[in-house]
Amino acid sequence: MSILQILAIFLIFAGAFFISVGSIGLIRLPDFYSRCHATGKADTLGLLLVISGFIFYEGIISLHSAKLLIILIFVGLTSPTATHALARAAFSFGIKPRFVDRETKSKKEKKGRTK
Amino acid sequence: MKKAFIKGTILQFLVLLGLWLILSGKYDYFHVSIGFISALLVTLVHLRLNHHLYYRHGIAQVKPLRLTRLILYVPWLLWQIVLASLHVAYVILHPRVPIKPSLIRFRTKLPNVTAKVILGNSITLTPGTLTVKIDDDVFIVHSLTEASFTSIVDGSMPRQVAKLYQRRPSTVIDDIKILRTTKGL
Repeated sequence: MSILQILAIFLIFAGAFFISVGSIGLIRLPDFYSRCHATGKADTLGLLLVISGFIFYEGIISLHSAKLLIILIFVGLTSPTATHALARAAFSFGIKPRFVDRETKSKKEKKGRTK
Repeated sequence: MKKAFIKGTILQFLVLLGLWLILSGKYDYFHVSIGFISALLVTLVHLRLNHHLYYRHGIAQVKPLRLTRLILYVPWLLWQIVLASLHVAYVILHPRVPIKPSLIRFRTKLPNVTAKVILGNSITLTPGTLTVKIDDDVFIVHSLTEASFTSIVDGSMPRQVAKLYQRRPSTVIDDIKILRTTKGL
């Protein structure tokens, strides 16, 4: 195994980690907008890492890498735009954000979470 | 104005041709000439749209990006994406899910639509903030934690975007309001 392949495997695993974190966040976070945070950020970085891992696996200078680079740029541009489009549609539809406060510790909050 | 229009059209043609050459991967006369013709056709179809963009909206709309600044901006943005994902990962995997969402409303003085698109996308990609709505100059941003909107409120983040267009931007945003309710929106 060459160094490039090891780097590729590392990047792909890191990307998979961030994509799974995004999916876990989709379940754990309380309302629509905070879920948008999970998918919009963690998934963007996850995809970028996975695709750059593919680039290293293919060898840096090759035609496939150039194609993957184009995909990389388009994912980087479209992913935040799609997140914004979703949030905007929800806002226009009248979905209100839930203003919970879980930064300050309180017993009441803990009770609410165990339910 | 005319010069910028011709320059933009030629640039568009070259980008389309380059995209074809990369995606097709075949470099004999047949495929390259087909690519040349299709790029030319698309450019011709877009000519009226380009004309509209360069002539109807006036000079302020097509201010060129400062390329040297863009080279600095892209790595900064990539680093911000990494920070944002680590922050979100920390929040999600923390057993208590420590969030305190709020909405921020502010007004920008950015020169054109492209700058607003860049600012909106950058806000979405920086830690803990998400662009919800853009109404002309008014941005509504959702932030996940208390600490995450400081970079917007003190104006350091929008200034990075404004520096793409001007060397020394004046105040980029004002009229900042932090909301914990949806009343009056």
